[in-house]
Amino acid sequence: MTRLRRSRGLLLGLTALGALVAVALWPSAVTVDLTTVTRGPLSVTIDEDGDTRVHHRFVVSAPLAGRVERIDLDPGDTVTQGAPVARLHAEPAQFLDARSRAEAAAAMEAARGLVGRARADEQRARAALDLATADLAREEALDASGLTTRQALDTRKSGVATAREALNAAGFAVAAATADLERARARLLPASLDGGGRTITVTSPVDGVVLKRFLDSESVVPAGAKLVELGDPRHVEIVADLLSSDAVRVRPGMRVALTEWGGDRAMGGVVERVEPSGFTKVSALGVEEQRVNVIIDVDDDRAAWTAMGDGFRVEVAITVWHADDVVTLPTGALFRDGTDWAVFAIADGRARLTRLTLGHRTPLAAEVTAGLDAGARVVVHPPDTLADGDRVTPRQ
Amino acid sequence: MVRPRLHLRALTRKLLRDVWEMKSQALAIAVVVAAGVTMFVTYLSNFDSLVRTLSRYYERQQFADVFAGATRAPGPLAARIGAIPGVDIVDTRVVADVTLDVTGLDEPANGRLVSLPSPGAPALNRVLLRRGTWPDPARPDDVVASEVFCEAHGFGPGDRVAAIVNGRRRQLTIVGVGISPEYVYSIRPGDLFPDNRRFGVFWMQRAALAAAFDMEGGFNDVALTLAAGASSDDVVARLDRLLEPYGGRGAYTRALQVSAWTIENELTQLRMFGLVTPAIFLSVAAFILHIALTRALALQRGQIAALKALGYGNRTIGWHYVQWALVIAAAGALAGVAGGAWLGAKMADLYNEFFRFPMLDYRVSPGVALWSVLGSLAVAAAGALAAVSRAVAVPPADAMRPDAPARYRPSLIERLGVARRLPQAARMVLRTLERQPVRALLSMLGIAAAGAVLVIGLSFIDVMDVLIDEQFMQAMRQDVTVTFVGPRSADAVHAAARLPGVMAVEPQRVVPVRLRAGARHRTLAIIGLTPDASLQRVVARSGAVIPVPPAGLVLSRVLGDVLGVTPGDSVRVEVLEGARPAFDVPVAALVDDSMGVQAYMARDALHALLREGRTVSSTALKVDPRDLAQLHLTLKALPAVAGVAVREATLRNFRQTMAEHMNLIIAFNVGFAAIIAFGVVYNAARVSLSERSRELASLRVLGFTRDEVGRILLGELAVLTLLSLPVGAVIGYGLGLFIMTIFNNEVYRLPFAITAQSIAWSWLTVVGAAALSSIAVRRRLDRLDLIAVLKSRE
Repeated sequence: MTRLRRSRGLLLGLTALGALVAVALWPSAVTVDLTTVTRGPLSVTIDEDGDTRVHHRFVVSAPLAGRVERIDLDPGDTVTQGAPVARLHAEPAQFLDARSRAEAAAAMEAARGLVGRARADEQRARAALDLATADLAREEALDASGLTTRQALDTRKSGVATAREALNAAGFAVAAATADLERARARLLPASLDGGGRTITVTSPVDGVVLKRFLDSESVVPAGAKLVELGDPRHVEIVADLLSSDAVRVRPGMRVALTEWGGDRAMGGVVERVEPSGFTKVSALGVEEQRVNVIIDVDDDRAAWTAMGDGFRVEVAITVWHADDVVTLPTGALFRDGTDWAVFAIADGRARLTRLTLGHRTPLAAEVTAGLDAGARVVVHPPDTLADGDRVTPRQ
Repeated sequence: MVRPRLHLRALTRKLLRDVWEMKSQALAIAVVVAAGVTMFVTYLSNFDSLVRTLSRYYERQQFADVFAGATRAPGPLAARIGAIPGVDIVDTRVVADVTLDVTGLDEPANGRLVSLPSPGAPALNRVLLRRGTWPDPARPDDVVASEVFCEAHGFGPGDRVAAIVNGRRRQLTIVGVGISPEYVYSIRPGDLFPDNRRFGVFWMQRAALAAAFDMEGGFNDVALTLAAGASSDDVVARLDRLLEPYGGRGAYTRALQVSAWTIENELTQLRMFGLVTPAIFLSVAAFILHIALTRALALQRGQIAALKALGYGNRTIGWHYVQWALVIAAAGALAGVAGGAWLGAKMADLYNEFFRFPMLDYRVSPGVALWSVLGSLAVAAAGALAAVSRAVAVPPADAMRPDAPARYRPSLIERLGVARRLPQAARMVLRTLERQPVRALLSMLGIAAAGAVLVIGLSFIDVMDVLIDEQFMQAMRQDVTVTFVGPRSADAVHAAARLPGVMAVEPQRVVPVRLRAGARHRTLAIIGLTPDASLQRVVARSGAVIPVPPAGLVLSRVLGDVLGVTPGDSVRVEVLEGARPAFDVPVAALVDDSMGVQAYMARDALHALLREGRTVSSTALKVDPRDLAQLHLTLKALPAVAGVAVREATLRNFRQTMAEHMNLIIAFNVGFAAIIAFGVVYNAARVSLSERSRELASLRVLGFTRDEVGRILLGELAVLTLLSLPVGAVIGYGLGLFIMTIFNNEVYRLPFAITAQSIAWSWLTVVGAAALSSIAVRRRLDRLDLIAVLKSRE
């Protein structure tokens, strides 16, 4: 009897001890965050910053050098085609310094002298003509009496003609000398802002809105100086510069989501064009990169973003690949097992290392092409102590 | 040849003989005392040595009292700083944090470059050269590197380290190896633990450093010492005012300097442990001593009576018996001092790993040794006094009579009628326990103390596991965190997404600010997070993930306490960079987190407050491990990158450091707990055996087997041990919780955690120790001289 009791007591003691050892050594369940593998759409996008740009821009510049009046147009004003944009006055003359003034004065005196001489020449020519005419009359009288030769008569006639032409020439010379005098006098004219009162009105080539005003105060500008930039902000496109290796994946027609522009929802757009040549740009992190501009058209409801102007910042997400129905899981669940991707899938309350092959990947989700089915539960951000076969409990 | 005899007094001879009689019990008690004294000496001698070494180091190397950083201040400002009343010496310097490319390390490391005046030594925070030479003024790329960094990599004078200095790669040549009081504990800002492989301090010539960072004729860091009697608050306030137009980031005193603060904290812990742990051991020792002595004195009744009859006075006899306790305690204390000296030296070596002093002058100061011995003697005397005074007060005539038998009564359980089915041994055990309930209770508490020590010790592992899980698996789930040099435009996020191997990016905006509420303020950084972040999150101690609300600040609860604000209150946020605006921001929530003083806000709200675009200060990246090496290579070459933190490396470093110390801690905990448990059980068993030897011998004579008799004696101990297990667990839990709460400070507030496994291990250890001592007592029982016992009068 006592032996039975003794062995029962011993048995009890040993089982208790065994239980204690078991508790001490039993691996506890690891608490993990779980998520479910789902079927659904997945889009791979290229995300970049872009700026808006008015599609057709017109820079109105001064057609010739002159004084531009103050431009009253402000950025944002509407202009119609043909409306005056700026008024240009002919360029006033330059100031003369003392030496040039003396030279000009001397030149005027010289010209005055030449005028005098020309007039004198004219008088002389007139006198010569008078004489020739008188001579001709005399000769004609003699001819009527038959007292002179034909040759003498002809000589007298040509003398008159010559004298007449000489008088004309002298007259022209007087005119030329007078004109020279005027020119010399003009050099000494005081500089006047009016410059002769000639004004040119520069008009707007299109209907549009003033985007930028390069000059606002009155100033003298050279020919070709930019005055205002006009455009139609209703026709705005987005320019985003992508890394050249990203631009290769973009084709015209791809859908674009436009965010961070200041409105409450994302706008839709489509890639219109990928520019053929790239350029070098220093990235935000300080390295040089080759970039290519991609032009995007907004095809969403224009009324929703009327406030968008020119040069506004937008974040673009170009969808380069999209599928409607693929098996996806969050990238937080992925890790590498050797060279393969793997996850911990839950089976019977235990974590099982499952190798996967992935298709397309985005920052948030990845496409599973083999290894897991939709509905499977996997561990997100598995702790590094988790091993294949460990018991897991979901975190509350 | 007559052997010379020791001329000892009779009583002394009796004392020695008596103590020798109870040598195993005495040994058990002495070992407990030794354990307590060892702890005392280890901790307090280290405390002592550290304090002494520290003060000497600080003084010799002119460690500054006040520190401040700015963006760029002009050189002549130094004179105005010197003119602040209370300022003694001013030392301006150029300090910069750079990325390092260290051969042998894949990921980029961080370096702090501190300027050395050329020529001459710095006025304050002087560097002590350990090896090599000072940099040659003709060679701008020569540096003196910190010793811990060089040791971690095996570098020495002549080795080179590449640094990205302000966007350009420079080869720095290490010409000297040195240490400085400013970096006794060198840790990268933001790390939990020092990582000497990934962070090093380098002292470079000022001319070269200033040229590289456009600081010629200026400075961006200033240190100063205060004159005697100066008010540090006043000086700090004035210094802040002077530096504000130059981007001052808030001055702070030595108490808040990272290295000095950590050491202070360590010292506080040392002192606390040094006083509390020995207290537990010595109380247990006192208790055991009391019980053993009571029994021993009970056995000595006759002798006491005889001595009294012979004429020895009460006091003499009392003193004689107290001396028993003192002898045992003294033996234990002396062993403890020796053990403590040895263990303390080992601990000092351990300190040298983390804290780099020129020489840790470890010494057991006479004061510590003396106090430990005196303390143990006092405690022993206290334990003995009660027993002795009672025993000695009995008049001789009474003493010569045998002691009155104990009360006979059925135990409570028997009276309840439940005991019918219990075996006899069980009934005997119950009655014994009930007869002396106080002693039984105290014995149980003594064993429970062992259990509690184990629970506290093993909980450390569990706390670390919880902390690791919380910090590395919950709060910080990104693989790499890249911090930029200054705030960058939003393009940087896309640029970061294009780095090799990057799978996901979460941008953050970190703004240095001063939070002010009434008269209280704190300088820290607000971290702007994306609202539905999945990589970097705000996690409370309970494990709950706190979502960042769309507006308002989320503060650490300890910060809320310091500032005296609750959710709904407003704090004044003074931005310490850029245009330095100031706003009032409401506090949306307080989070009970474990590490540091943090302030969080939704990124968008922060941008709106600062009236800026979507600027980025750092990014949290999830990286494909296959491309990690390529990423590191790229990051090393990026001029905009100020620092890179790799979670896996940090975690590995953390675990490694912990593992090294964990084994030591566990070993000591188990050892000490076993000592206590063994001591208590052994003594209780021996006392019980001594008291009941006559009964037990009678039973043996009557025919009970050794096993049966053994069960009667040891059953009592088994019941006590079993009862002590849950009690010990509860006491350990409560004490652990209490200790964690005491150690809550602004840098860490660890949650107390203990797993069922740890409790099971602690129970197994206690049961094991109790079992071992039971075996020892059982052997004694088996060898009981039945005849002699039965013949005894008692």
